[in-house]
Amino acid sequence: MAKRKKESLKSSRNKLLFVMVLFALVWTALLGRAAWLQLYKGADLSRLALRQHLAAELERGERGNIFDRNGNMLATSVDASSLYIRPVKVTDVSGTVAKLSKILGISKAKLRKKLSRKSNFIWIKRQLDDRTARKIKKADLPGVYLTTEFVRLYPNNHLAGQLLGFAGIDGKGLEGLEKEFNGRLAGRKAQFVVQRDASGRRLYLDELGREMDIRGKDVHLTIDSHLQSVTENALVDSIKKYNAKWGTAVVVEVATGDILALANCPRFNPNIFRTSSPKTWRNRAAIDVVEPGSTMKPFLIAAALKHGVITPEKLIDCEGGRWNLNGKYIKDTHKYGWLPAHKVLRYSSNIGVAKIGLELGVQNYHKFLTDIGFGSKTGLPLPGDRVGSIRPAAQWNEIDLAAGAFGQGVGVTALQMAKAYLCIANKGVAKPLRLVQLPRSEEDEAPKRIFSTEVAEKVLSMMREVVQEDGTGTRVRISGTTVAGKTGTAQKAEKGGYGNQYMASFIGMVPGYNPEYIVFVMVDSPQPNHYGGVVAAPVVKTVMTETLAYYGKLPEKQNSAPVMSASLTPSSEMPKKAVRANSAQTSVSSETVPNVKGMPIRRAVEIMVKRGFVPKLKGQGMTIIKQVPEAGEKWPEDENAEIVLWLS
Amino acid sequence: MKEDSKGIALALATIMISALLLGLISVWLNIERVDKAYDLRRMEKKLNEQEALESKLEVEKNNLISPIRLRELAKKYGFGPASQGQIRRDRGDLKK
Repeated sequence: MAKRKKESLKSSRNKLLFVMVLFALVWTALLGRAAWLQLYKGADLSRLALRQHLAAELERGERGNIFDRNGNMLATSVDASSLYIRPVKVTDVSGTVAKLSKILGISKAKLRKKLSRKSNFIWIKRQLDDRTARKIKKADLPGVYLTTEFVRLYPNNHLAGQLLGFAGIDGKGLEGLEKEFNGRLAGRKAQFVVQRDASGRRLYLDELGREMDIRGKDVHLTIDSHLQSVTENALVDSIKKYNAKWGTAVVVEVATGDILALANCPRFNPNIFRTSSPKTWRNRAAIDVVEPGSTMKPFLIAAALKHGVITPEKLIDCEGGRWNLNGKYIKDTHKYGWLPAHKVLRYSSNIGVAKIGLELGVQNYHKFLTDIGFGSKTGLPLPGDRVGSIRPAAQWNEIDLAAGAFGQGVGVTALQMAKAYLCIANKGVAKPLRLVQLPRSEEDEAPKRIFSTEVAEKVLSMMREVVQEDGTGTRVRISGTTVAGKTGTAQKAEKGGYGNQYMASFIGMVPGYNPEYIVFVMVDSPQPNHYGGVVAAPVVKTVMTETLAYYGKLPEKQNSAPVMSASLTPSSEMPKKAVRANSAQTSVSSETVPNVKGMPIRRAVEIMVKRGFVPKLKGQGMTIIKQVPEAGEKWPEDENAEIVLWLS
Repeated sequence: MKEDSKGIALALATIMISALLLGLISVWLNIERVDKAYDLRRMEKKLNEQEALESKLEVEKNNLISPIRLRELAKKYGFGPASQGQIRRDRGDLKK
């Protein structure tokens, strides 16, 4: 009994030992495995686990916006869905092709061809509209996916198209300001790691560097979209009316140098830039170098006044409208005899300015032109901003100088012209044009005096005569205020010389005494009329009138007609012709000058004009107190002779 | 001696219960964290959608108030730019 009990106890102990050993072995194996996984394979396994739970994500920032000076949006980016397929995951090829073809309007053959490619990723159509994207989502086709991209939109359509330019499908600026400011506007990329769950959904459990600001920065322009629209419309009307090839216009605020409008025609819509010719994308105001013609004359006059070569009263022989210089003929549109310098500008005599130019000399004129900004970039942030074409002074001969005096043989851009006239309007101090308010330019050109205030006043006075008296720019008159201006009708160079195509231009400044706004317009190859005073001047007038109205500065209409044009038809392009036409019908038949002393200014001027003379008025009153020639003297034989009336 | 053992046992029990509690809290926090991450994801998606819609509406607004459209509308209703004699000024209404 005791023996059996002893054996049983021994058996139990063995079993217990066996279990213990077994447990020990199992635990050892487990610990060994754990140690193997943790200590030996730990690093690799940890990497594998991370790869399974974490995913790299790439985020692209939205492109910055472009605003006008009033905060109106000119360019922005919005979300749009783009469609791509993974052919390997497409289960029903013909069904998918049929549905996509119906929704997208793409031919089935084209889609089938795309689907047959052995690629893992194929774009079908990018930047879909919301309605189409919804239809695709609703169709729920296997292997067909939508992803979000930014699409660039221009809410004002073709407004300032050439200035703004456009961005490509990948959001990269390709033209205009979009290109120039691409570095600022473009959204940046952010790459970060996120955790994902078993079904692949991303979980943002912590910041992981995701909070960085990747949105592109905005650009604020000095452009006013209303004035831009006014300028574009006026320009388009003129281009259509005169069958011109193209035109450009610049509006500048004198006080700040801000460009309020920069228009080009023909226009294009940057939203659908591919539908227009690359030629229309050109910002011609900055890129196209042209011979400006007579709009260059005020600079020649300013240079001559600065160097004391002329005074406004100095008489110049205009050779009866035709002058031979070294075998080349210089012509005027009318046969002028002796003209004082101010009338040389008023009537835009080529011979007159050529002679002044020759007296001034190449060095002086060339230096003046380069000082005022010709031959160098305007400094505006515009792609393709050109320096123009002003040859070195040493290369100019007498003919070049004479031609350069009336704006032929020199190449300038519309923006250079606007900048140079800003100097005149700013009373001789050159300052930079400004197109962008934000970001601020780091290298602002310091204002620099080019000529004296007196010279600027004299040039402005002559330019007022062009418009307010019987000059070539009478179509720009605005009743109630004065306008200073200058016409330009430049012959265009063709192969083998100058042909019969013209560049019509007009520069206008309002008010004429202390200009606040400058408007410069150029129209290429207008037909049948090609005069700057006919083609470009009305554009300038429209823009000026609407600009003044917009700023609440448009004056009340004056009942009386402008003094010096009492008997002229307001639309006369060539005033001298008009004067002659009137003189034929004159009722003033006396051979001697009548006594106009004590007469009202209007009546006295009418008498003089009917006899074919435009009197010069001195003083501010309303009645005549003195006259030259005196009453009873014979009328001068020279039609350009000066008649002066002093006012009370 | 007996009292010492009791104290040790009590301390051990407290530590074990605390460890268990901490473990449970940790699990609960992790679940909440993941839950919140899902909520955040959902809200972020909604915010993006709203922002996209706002951008589109902004574009639409700018399109509606564009000078070209306003000019067309003005023409339709017989309005136009102010001409001379049509502007009335109060003191200080001049726009800079």
